[in-house]
Amino acid sequence: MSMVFPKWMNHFPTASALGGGAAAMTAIGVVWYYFTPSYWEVGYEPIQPVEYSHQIHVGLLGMDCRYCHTDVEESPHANIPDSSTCMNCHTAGTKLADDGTYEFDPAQTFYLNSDLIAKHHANNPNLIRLRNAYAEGRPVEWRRVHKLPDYVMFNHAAHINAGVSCYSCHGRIDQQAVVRQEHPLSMGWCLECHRDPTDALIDTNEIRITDLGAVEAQLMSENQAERGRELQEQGVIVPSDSCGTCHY
Amino acid sequence: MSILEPDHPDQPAPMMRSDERYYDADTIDGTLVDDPGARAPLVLGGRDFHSVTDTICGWAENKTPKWWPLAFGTSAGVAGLGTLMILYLIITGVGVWGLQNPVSWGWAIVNFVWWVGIGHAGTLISAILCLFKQKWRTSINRFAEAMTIFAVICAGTFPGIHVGRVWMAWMLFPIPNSNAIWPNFRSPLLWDVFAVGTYFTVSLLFWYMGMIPDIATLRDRATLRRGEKTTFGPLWAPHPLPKVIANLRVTLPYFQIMSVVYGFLALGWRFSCRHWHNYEKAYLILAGLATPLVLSVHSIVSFDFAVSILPGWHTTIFPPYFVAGAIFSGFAMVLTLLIPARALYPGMKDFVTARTIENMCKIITVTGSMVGFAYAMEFFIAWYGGNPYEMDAFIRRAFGPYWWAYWTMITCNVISPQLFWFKWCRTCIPFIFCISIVVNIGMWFERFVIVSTLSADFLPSSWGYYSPTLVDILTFVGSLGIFMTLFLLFCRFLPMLAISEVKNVMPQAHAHLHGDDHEGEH
Repeated sequence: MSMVFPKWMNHFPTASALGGGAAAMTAIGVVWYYFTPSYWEVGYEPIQPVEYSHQIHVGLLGMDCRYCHTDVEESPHANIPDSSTCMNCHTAGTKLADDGTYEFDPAQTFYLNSDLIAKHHANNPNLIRLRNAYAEGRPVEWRRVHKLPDYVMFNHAAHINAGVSCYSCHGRIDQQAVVRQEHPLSMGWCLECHRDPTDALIDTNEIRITDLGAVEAQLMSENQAERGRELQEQGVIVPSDSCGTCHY
Repeated sequence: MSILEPDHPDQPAPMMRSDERYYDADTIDGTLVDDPGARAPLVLGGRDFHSVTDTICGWAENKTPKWWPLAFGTSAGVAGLGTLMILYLIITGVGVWGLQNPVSWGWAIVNFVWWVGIGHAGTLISAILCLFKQKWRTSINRFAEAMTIFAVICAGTFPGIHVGRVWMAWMLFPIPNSNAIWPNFRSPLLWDVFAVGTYFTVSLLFWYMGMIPDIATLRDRATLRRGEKTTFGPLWAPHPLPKVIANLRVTLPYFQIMSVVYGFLALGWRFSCRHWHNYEKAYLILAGLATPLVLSVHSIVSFDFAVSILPGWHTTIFPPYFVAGAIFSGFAMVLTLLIPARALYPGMKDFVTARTIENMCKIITVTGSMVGFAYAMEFFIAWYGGNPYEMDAFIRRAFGPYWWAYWTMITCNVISPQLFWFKWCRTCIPFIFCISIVVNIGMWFERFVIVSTLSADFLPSSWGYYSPTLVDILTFVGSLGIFMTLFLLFCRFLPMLAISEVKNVMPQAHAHLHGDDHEGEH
C-alpha cells in the first residue's frame, strides 16, 4: 500500500496538539487582555467642541466641582452646565451687539487687571464658540466621556452623600486639561467597591469631598483601611450587590 | 434447530449464500426463533469477511443512489428554512415566538428536551449494551451514535437561540468576565450546560474513535482506486446535453481526494496489534464513561422542571421517568431511520436482522411501560398527596384546555408500545415504522404537556393559553431538516455499520470455539 501522507506527517498530531494548545492559550490571553473595558474604555479622551480645561478651572483657580455640576448632591445625574453657567464669569469683557451676538468689548474689562486676559478673551476661538452658543440660547454640545449602558442606573447623589468622592470614579479631574476616562467602569469594577467600600469612603467633615488632591492623599494613606471601616460602621454603609440596585 | 446451527460444532459456518437454509416464511429472515436454546445468526446471507467489508464500504464508495440527492436536497432545503427562521429570530427578537407570560418556555424547551431524549439511544446501544455484551448491537451502534450526535446538535441549538441575544450565549458557561457575573450554580439550567456538554463530548469521542479502523479501511480502499476519475454534475439530463448544462459537469479524482480525507480522519491507523490493543481498551473506558451519562443527562434535564416549585413539575419521579422516556424516544428514532435505510441500502438486511428490530421493539415496550407507569403514578401521587394545587394541575392536564395534547400523548406513548406484545406487530416492518413515528410524536407531546402546565400559574388572573407562531413551527421543522441533512451526509460518506465489530460477531471469528461458548446472543 503506497502512503497517502509523507512521513513527516507522523509529527502532525504532536505538532497540532502543541500548536492547538498554544493557539488556545493565546486566544484566551488575547480575550482576557483586549476584550475588556479596561482596554477599550480607559483613556477615552474625546476632543470637546470647546476646549474647556478642568486643570485651569479646578486645579489652578480652585473652583468647586459643584459650581457647574450643581445637582450632584441631590440628583442621580451630575448635570453638565449650560452655556449660561460659563457666561457667569465669561460675560466680562463682552457686550451685546446690534445683531444679537456677543462680542469683545474692552470697555467691559474694567476689573480684569491684565491685558493678557483681555486679549485672551477677545480672540480665543473657544470663547467665541461659547459666546455664540450663549447668544443662540443653546448649550455647548459636550461629548460625553463617562458612558454607562442604558440599563445601568448610576446615582451620583447616593454615592456623594455616602462619602464617596468624585475622585474614586473620575480620578484627578483637577489635573486634566482634557477630561479622560480613568477607570474601566465595568460591572466588575463597580462590584469590587460595592463588596468592600472601605477604600473609597472619606470623612466629609474633615475633607471637602470635591478637594480631589486631599481626597487622594487620604485614600492613599496607610490608615485608610481602618478609617474606611470606621466610617462604614458609623454611617451603616452597606452597599448592595443585588441586580436591582443598578438595573431597574 | 438445524437451520440456525451448523451441523457439526467444528464445522465453520457456511460461506456461500444459501437462502433456503436461512429462510423461514414464518420468521421473515430466519432470525426470529423463540427457542431459547438456539442462537439466531447475527449476519445473514452466508457472508465472509470480505463481502462484509465490500458491502459496508460500498455504501460510501459506490455511485450515489438515485434517492439520495432528492432526500438530501429536501432536507437541506428544510434546514435552510429553519436557518432563515433562526436568523429572523436573531434579527427581530424572541417575540417572534409564541412565548409570553405565563408560558415563558414554549416550543424551544419542548424541542430541546425532545432532541436530547432522542440522543439517548446512541449511548445506550453503544455503551450499556456493549457492557452487557449484547452482540446484536454491533449492527446498529454506529448508526445510533451518529443519530445521537446530530440529535444533540439540534437540541443544543434551541437553548442557544432562546437566550434572545445569541451573541451573549457564551454567558451560559462559567467564563470569567469584566462584569464579574457568573451563571447561577444553583440553577439546573447551568447543570444542563455541563450535562449536555459532557454528553456531547463523550458521544462524539466514542463515535469517532469507534470509527477510526473503519475509516482506515475506507482510506486504504480509496488509495487503491486513486487513479479513477469520477464525474459529478447534471448526469440525469437527456443526452446530448445542451452545452451550458454539460459544462457544469466536473471530473474529479474523487478517490484521490477521499484517500486524503479518510487518511486524515484515520489518524494513521495501520491495523497493528498495538493499535487494536489500545483501541479495545479505549473503547471499554469510553463505554464505562458513557454509561452513567445515559442516566445522568436526562435526569439533569428533568431537574429543569423538577427543581422548580410548580405543582405538576415538582415531583421526584421526574428523573427516572425522563430517562425511560428518553430511551423510549431514542429507540423509536433509531427505528425511524433504520427501517428506510435497511430497505434502501442493498445488503443491509443481512446485518440488521428482523431479530435486531424485534429486540428494539421489546426495549420500546419496556421503556414505554415505564413511561406509562410514571404517568399513572403522577396522577396517583397528586391525589394521594392531598395537595389541591397539585391535583388541580393534573386534572387540568387531562381535562383542561390542553386535553387534546394529553390524550395524544397517552395514545402514542402508553397504548402504542403495548401493541408490541403481539408478535405480528413487532415483526411487521412497515407497522413498526409507523409505530416508531407515533412514539416520536407522543414523546414530543409529553414535553409539550409538561411545559403547558405553565399556562395556569399561581395567579388565576394571568392564566393564558399558549399557541405557537408560524416561526415556532418552522424552526422545529427546520431542526428536523438539519438533523436529516447531517444524517444523510453520514450515510453517504462514512461507514454506516461498524465493520470490525460486525466481523467480530460472525461465526468465522470464533470458528474454533463454535459450539461451546455460552455468550448469549439473544
